[in-house]
Amino acid sequence: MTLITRNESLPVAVYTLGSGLNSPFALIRQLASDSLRARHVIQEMFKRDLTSQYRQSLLGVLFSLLPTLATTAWAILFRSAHLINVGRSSVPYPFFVLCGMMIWATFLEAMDAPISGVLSEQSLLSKASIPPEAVTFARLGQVLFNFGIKSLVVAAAAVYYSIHVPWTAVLVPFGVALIVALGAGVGLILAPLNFLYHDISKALPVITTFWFFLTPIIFVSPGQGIASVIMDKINPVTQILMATRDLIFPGSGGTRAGLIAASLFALTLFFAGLIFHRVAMPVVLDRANS
Amino acid sequence: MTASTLPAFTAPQAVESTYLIEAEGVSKKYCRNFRKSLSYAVRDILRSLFPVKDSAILRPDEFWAVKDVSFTLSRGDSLGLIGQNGAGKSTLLKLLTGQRGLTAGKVIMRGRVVGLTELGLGFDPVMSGRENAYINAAVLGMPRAKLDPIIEDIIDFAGIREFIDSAVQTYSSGMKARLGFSVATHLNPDILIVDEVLAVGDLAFRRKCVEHIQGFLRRGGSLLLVAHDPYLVQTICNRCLVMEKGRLIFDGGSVEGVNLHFELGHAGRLEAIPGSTHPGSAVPSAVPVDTGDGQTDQRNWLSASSARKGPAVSPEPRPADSLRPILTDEDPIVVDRLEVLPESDPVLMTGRSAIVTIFCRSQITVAAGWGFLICTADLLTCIFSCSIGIDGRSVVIQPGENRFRCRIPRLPLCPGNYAIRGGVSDLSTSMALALLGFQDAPHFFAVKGAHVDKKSNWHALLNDLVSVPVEWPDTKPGTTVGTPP
Repeated sequence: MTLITRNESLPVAVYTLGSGLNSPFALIRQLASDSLRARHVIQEMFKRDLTSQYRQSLLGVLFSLLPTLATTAWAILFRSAHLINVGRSSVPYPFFVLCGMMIWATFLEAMDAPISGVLSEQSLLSKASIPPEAVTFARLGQVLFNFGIKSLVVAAAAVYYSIHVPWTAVLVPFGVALIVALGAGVGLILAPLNFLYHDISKALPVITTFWFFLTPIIFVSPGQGIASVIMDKINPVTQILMATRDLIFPGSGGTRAGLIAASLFALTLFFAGLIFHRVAMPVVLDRANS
Repeated sequence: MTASTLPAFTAPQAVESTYLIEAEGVSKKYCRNFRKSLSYAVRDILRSLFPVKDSAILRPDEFWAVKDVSFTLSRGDSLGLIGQNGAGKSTLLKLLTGQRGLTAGKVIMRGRVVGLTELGLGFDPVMSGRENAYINAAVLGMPRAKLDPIIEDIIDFAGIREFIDSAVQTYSSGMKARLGFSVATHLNPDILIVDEVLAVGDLAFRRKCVEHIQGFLRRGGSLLLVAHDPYLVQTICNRCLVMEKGRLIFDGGSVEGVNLHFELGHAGRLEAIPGSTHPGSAVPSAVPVDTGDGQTDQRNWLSASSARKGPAVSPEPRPADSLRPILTDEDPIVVDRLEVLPESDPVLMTGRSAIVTIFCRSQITVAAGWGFLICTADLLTCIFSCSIGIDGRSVVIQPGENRFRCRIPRLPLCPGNYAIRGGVSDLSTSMALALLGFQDAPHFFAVKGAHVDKKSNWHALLNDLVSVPVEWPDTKPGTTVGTPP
């Protein structure tokens, strides 16, 4: 029988009222140490979500490929009907779409991770002392896992079309990290707001559909018109997506300055999202179902 | 509100001299109107992005769920927290464990805290019991590697080894609770915070939980317990906090706290009636029950004058006579009092005659039955009950004061403390008309032994409840015990 009198130092937790933004650096330190301490929870939640979602499924992991494959299929169909004009490309069109979709689908999943995460884990978040971003991290782990599966499909397609993939392809994970940071940044900010007003998740499919067509995934930028300006100059996904695709097959365009700007934006948004999430979730969880 | 969500480690320090929990001016406000609370949330988020702090003002529809609560908990303390529904008990616990942000005040928690506020947090229905045990432990702060050596103990304690690899969605709610409780209690925390979870599971499991908590306390653990059964607080806790409307109104001994709780609980449906408006009232003034050891039984809240002797800190002490339930059309009859008194002896004694009297007030005339239950003082066990009504015999309740008696020729109770609950019922429907001791405090009384001898000590040693007259037809005088004839 263990006696509970302990000699080692006791962990101490202090809870007070105080906006973390009074000392943003302390908040970031807190975020880092909390995430480090919550790594076991993150790990277990990741494992749980991964296994439990496929336990009642025969095709299992193939379903994470479904959006990518479906979009690729209809893009091929529409193009054969001359409804989509992509101009000239160094790779076969299906491979072009597959690469774009791999990145776009990862972006969407990263954006959804915090939004659906806090909703489905609200009872856990409001009843256990775990940091709110832990749920997002666990789900982002799954996003990366799904990306791994998608990249296998892209690799298989590269073999099928006998495309010579350059060595730069090993840098693809950096591009993916940026796109995940961008998606998660948006998601982390929207998640607490959507927790209050579900309008956001209702509007999101409409917005992302627009966004999809303003990103060079199934076609390239026409180079003229207002859509083109948004696609090339404003949409941060464009630059990261094109740069990542360039690592697999060269010549899809994009500027270095654009990439740097988009990358900085993505990282800033991610950290801003984390801070906002941390500040907003306690307020929001008061309204949780408990 | 953005302070650490998980305990932050600090440098080693002198542990023994410090409190494990220090709460200072803890406050929390909530909004009654859900829709409004959403827009308040947006405003609060925006405000917390700027260094402005002025949250001490209540906006429309807001109220203090917890207001200015300060207390401390030392190592080895076992602290009960009681109060009416909505008094702010659960909210306070959530503030202590960091599950909710404070509106004002400060909380310092020292040591590993496990909050048993809900069993089986993080359970996934399609995963097995074993897998879920690991998830649950991680959520409560214990990594997989540390759980590996004790997982078998956890499964054994839960008593569901046969089903441990089945999906949790096939478990009964009791099985889920067992597993969740087993995981939580094996984490060996410094502070265990328990909220209502003991209400689940069957009686045997409940008893197991209570035993486990008592073992945890014996090993030097500290406990903060919210229980809807105040008797559990009285059994387990050495200290008690009573909350009312978000405020802490009592901090002291658990018996006094439970007593105050009942007094307040009853006060909820009372109105002040000046004693003088009831001239010639047939209700005898409350008489403190002599427990025979020279002290009056202070737990008898109905004898309000004696209850006042307790160190309870009541917000506004009221004169005893003002505490009288009122009659309404919904409650046309109230039971004012139950009494167990000796018929001829100075005190109640085992094997001697006793009179049970019920005092009730009515505004209607009705044919009724009445009865009572004698329970152990912790109210867990009913020893015996007597009633009329169901057998066709009845009494007639008249408007005004009524008094009915039952004579027990030979009181079978062994020496000790007991409680009595009772009520009157409608003869035609057998439905209760008025009760005492179920929603509110029962009446406590003590029984003394008729004589001091070996046999009565033997009864006491075995915790006997009743003494039954029996005969032993096969005995011979002078035969040695255990020798075959």
